[in-house]
Amino acid sequence: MRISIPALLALLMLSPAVLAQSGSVYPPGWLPCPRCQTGPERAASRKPVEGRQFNPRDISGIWGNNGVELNIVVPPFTAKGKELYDATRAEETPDGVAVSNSKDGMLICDPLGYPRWFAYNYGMQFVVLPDRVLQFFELGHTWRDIWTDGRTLPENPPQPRWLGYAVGRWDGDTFVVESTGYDDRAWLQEDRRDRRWGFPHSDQLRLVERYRRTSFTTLDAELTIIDPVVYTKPWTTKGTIQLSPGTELWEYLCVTSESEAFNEQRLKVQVGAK
Amino acid sequence: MRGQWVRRATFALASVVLLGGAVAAHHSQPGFSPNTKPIDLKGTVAEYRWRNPHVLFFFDVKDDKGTAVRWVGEFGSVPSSIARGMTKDTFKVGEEVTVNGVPATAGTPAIQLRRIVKADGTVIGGATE
Repeated sequence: MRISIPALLALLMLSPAVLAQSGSVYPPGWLPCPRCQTGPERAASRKPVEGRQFNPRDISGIWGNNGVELNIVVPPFTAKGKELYDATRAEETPDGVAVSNSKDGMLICDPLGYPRWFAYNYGMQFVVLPDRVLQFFELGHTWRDIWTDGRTLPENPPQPRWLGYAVGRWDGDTFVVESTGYDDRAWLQEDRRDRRWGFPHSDQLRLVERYRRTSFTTLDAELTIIDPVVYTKPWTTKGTIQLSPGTELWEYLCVTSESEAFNEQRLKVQVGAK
Repeated sequence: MRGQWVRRATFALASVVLLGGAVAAHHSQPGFSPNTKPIDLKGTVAEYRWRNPHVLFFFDVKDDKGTAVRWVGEFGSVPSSIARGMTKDTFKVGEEVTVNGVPATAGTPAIQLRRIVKADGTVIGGATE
């Protein structure tokens, strides 16, 4: 089979890997964001570190490129929980077009909060310091402090926080994070079974996370949501997060003016709003 | 009565305005039907907005009377678009394109992009993820 030179050039131009290798995307010395990598780029950056020796008590690094979605098996709501869930239902346009997530605070650049940033983050980075572990998120370009200096969780937090109050400790080779003091305006996550709803939580929310590095490139993560005001049972999500070597976190801020422009010039047009 | 209607209309409009992040973050596509037949539109690039939450693609298409109508389509977020091989320079204002996609059910000039063919034959895929 013969391929013409123009066709070959066109193919090369379309190849993301070639674009990256040629340096046309990333300036010299600068790395892609976790979500920016193509499949071949991701495989190539992991290959040199696969099987490398690791310290199970060092969880530092950039992990994943999206987050760990909550377990789709949702525990039953309490009566109050059902009421809160129903209140998250999206509105419809006058023509009956289903409006996805219209009550989601994220749409007006409210912070995602935690554990929503666990479930959706465009990549997460642990930085281990002597007295705390910093957990950075590309999406929202923010961080959470997980204190490891021996302090305990506040019984009566002075202010509810979108990212809560978190303390961490080692249980063998598992890093255990417990947290509380959450602002109940945040959602746990949008309901991915039907995105017209979101999963609410109360200010009584408590979380337990367990992270265990099982190889140089893999981190087992387990999140348990405990909120007896809203859910009749604890809600546990498990996942394995892949290391994202050869990347660095970029800046993905939710910019209100950009979101407003997007809403006005795209979304209103596509649903036919006047 | 009229006040009630205005409040309802305002609320409905606000709901629609708030749609942005839904598509931005989780790619729902209200206003498009899987049952709508894709169309081809020939036009010129009016603006290629390389920004989050999603990259926007505006292009002008002449209608039957020769009047330019500005259409809008979207790709994924900037990181997702980079992973697809796109850059901030993928399109230039004024270049000719043939856009294939699903038009909005409402009959407004919005399209769910499937592919864009440039004058030199280069094909850029759409993004509905």
